[in-house]
Amino acid sequence: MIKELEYEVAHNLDEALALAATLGERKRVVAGGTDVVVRLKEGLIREDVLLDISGVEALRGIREEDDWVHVGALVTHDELALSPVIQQSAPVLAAAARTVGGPQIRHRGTIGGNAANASPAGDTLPALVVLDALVILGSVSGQREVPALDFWTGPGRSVCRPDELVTGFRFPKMGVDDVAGFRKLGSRRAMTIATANVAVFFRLGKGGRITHARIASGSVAPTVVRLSKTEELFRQLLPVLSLAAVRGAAQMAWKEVAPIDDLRATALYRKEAIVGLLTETAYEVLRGRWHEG
Amino acid sequence: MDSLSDTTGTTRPSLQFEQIARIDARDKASGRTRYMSDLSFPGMLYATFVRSRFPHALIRRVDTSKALALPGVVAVLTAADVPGFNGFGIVVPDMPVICGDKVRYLGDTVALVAAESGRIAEQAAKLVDVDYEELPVVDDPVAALLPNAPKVHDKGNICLHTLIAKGDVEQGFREADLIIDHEYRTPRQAHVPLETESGVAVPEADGSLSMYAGSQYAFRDQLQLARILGMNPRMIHVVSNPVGGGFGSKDELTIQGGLALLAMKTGRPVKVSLSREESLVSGWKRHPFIIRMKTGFKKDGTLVANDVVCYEDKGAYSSLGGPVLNLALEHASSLYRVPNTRHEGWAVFTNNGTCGAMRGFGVPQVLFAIESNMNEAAEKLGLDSVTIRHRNVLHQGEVSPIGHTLRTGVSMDLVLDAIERSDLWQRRTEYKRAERPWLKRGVALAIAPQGAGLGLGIPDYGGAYIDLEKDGTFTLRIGLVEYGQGTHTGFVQMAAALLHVHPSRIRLIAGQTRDSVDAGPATASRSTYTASNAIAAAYDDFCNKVEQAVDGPDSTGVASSCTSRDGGMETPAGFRSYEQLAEDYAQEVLLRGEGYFVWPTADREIPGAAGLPHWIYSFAAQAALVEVNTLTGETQLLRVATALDTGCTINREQVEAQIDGGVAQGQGFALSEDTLITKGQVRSKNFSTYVIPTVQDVPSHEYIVLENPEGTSPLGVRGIGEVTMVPIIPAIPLAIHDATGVWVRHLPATPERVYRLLHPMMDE
Ligand SMILES: Cc1cc2nc3c(=O)[nH]c(=O)nc-3n(C[C@H](O)[C@H](O)[C@H](O)COP(=O)(O)OP(=O)(O)OC[C@H]3O[C@@H](n4cnc5c(N)ncnc54)[C@H](O)[C@@H]3O)c2cc1C
Repeated sequence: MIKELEYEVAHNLDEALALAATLGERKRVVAGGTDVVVRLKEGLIREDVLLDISGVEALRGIREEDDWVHVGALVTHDELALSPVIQQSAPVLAAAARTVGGPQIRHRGTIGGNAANASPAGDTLPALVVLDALVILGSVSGQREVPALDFWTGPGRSVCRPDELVTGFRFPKMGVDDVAGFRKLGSRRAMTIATANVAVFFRLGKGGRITHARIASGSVAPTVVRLSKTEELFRQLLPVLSLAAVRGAAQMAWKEVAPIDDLRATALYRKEAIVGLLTETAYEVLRGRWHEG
Repeated sequence: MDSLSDTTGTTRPSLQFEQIARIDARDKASGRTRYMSDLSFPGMLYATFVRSRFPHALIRRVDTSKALALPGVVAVLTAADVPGFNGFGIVVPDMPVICGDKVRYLGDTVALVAAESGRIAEQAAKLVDVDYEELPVVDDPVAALLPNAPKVHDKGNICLHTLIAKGDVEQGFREADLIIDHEYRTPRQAHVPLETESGVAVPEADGSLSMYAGSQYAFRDQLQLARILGMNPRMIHVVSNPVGGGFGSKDELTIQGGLALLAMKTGRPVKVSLSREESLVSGWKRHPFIIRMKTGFKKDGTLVANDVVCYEDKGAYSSLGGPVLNLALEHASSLYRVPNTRHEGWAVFTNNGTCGAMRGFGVPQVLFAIESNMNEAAEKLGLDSVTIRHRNVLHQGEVSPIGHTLRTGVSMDLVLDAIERSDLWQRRTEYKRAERPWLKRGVALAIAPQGAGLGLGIPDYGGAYIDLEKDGTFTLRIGLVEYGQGTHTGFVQMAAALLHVHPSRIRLIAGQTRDSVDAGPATASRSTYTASNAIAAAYDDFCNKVEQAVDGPDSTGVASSCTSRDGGMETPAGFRSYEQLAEDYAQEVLLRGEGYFVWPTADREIPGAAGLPHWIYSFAAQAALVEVNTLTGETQLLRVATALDTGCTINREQVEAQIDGGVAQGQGFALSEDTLITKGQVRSKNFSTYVIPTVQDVPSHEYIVLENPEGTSPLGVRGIGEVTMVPIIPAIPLAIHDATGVWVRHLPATPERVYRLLHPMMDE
């Protein structure tokens, strides 16, 4: 049974920020509502005011700013998946968005909601991490930017203060030497919460060697995690396509995750599956650039 | 031949069935159809079922005073308020409508609330104060058989024990060159029709009750409700159609008993539509089976013995658990030639939800085991999976594994030949080419018979009326409910073909007790077959009635010389269009053809096995192409070929739709669906954890439709509703084996299970 609440609608960003400031911890922001409504129904919303920001025009849209891409908090998963800018400059984010829920959820659900919800299983989160994205937070007192990796502090928790809103994200465009990929493991092909997911970004240098590696994984720890030791091993790979070598490097992921048992899978399986997922994703990403020895 | 098979009509192969779209398609697709959950009546109240807090407990006291005091609450009922018999169940009515002294699963009802709004009803439900004394939870069907196990029912935990034996299995195993012996486990599949249990009970001014609730057999609901209410069944009108899906979940009563009690008590219409969560906790499920199967083979693949023990997790109440167990035992050696068999089964009460009828009715569970043992034997003996089956399939006239002679048509060899000729099987080497080193593809096939009808000892009956209306159109009355299968379209097509009119000239009244004719439950792959007989009999009677009308009292009324053609009938007085016939003979009196049909059955029962044997079977073979990701254990079902014997196809589109749906449901069973219950607590309560395939997951199809007429149907038809989901269930894990070499013996084959088989843990 859904409890009775107050419902405030913000018509523009100033109004939204002002309401966020005054309502503080009493309010729960609603963007697409695809997480909030489910929680309301389950009786998990303790706040007694809903602040609907879905009509705030300033939070929409995808823009290129020189070598950066700016994505508004209200951009939906559908918009991400279909945007030529994202497909061109951050295909890993388009790929992640395409795996979210089904058509209805992608049509309503927003990237801001996905990030602010701070589920360890959020599918766009590892993509944002490997893109080196900054989360932009706004409040009546101004704006600040937080690296994606530092944004989440635990399951359902982030550094976003009660008087703040996530207003958007920005990240550098991927260049010609950059390759990236995303893969999600679930119980079926659509409408599935990630048992584990992984995003991979490699910058290739002379001869195809990996000079920069960023690997992030979800559903395997309380927050999205960066697999830095694994990244090091990838940087050491010879630029020759070999499944065994890729798998060898990916094996390290085992040591960098701390999953739990839940209904979807055991912790042990998650540890092993993340190695598999990473192997597959890295191999797919490198296949276009490297050749078998 | 058995004398009974002579009593049925001859096949009429020349009939042409007009290929029309489903008669309900337009209204359903455009949203005009009003399902029970869409209904609303003036003064309507809303019900809440107060469910048990514990899976197993004694009820010390139920205090409804606080709930009753809440403004807007009109009635709160407890067990003491049931005027008639407080129980229901198709076989044994052991499930209380409202529990008085004990609860046996979380879906048990301890009180009923009716209020002015759903919200108030929900609030009131929380105020019903129940004092429980918790009992130890019985959650393991094997342990529940031990003498000191806590008892779910006073009579103990055995719902049914059946043993069917033929020959001497020990001798058979001594003669065997190879013995395959394994334990198999199957999931607690949920039906999850789109529409949950929903309905409205409406007390009428004349003291009768109208029950609008999606269900599979209006006439049986009527009797069960009469018993609960202590009322003349004639005063209860049940409307079961339209139903937003059933698959067996609405065969037994669900919410009707509670709604009826509240409506009679308050004198107002009362509605409920269960949430998905409540439906998944309280609703009927498929029985999980533990199957121990030891099968002996000669070197050439010939079967010599099969020793099977099944443990059926019955859950809390009987419903159809006994018949499900027995149908499973009937099929535990499929229809293979096995001289020595021992099929034993235990249906065991537990506090794991409650299970009942579901499409396939025990057959999917055992077919998974026998088809797996067949393939493993084939592999060990160096045979291929077609050859080993060919060596063993039975034909008409032979003796079944449970000892009865197969008198009606047996198409095991036909479907096997057809699946062998399928494109998927012929080109399997090509299909098996995977695009990445970690992806492995496999193809496997399986075949299945599925006994149709209610079996021996349960009168299996169907009636139909064909009425000529005053304007020359027809009304077809036949009670069978339609819940998605497309049967009603088929009924109209059959009547139209017999009468030689366009289907649009026939109006159907079905799925309700009033103005229709009892034709039995829409279960057990029996609807189309029953209807073919009842409608053909009604047609024959209609021809007689026309002859009597035209000839007057001179007519003998025996074998009519009337035959239909071109929108009318050739009569002794010449050709008459139906309009003319109606004009001349149907203005004052009703010109009605009445058809009654009783299923042919075996002449004697298999000793110790109530309901067995079945007499008429459906047949299908399926081949599956899967792709296994060896890095993660994920399995994708890519393509399925189905060879199905329809006997005679009434509507090709609906046959293909049954295959599509059957495969999706079988795929769910094999790969992802399972209601997870721990210590009696349901953990998968919605679609994020109860995982059914989406449109993205279902495979592409190859359809091979065979038409080997079933001699006991005048139109030659067989039921196909269940068998389309059976062979796919073993075919998927066997294809996983073909792809990877591992044998999956515990379904569903989730990514984690497959992964663990591919990468065993060190200490195992
Ligand atoms: C059926 C279904 C399937 C789903 N499948 C997936 C899936 O596959 N992958 C996946 O990652 N997720 C999935 N989700 C979860 C959800 O759809 C996504 O997380 C989505 O991106 C949430 O966006 P929203 O706009 O709907 O958020 P909302 O529900 O509106 O909000 C989510 C949370 O974020 C807060 N919030 C929203 N916007 C802001 C903001 N701008 N500033 C501060 N706080 C804000 C809200 O207060 C709330 O706590 C699924 C959900 C459903 C119901």
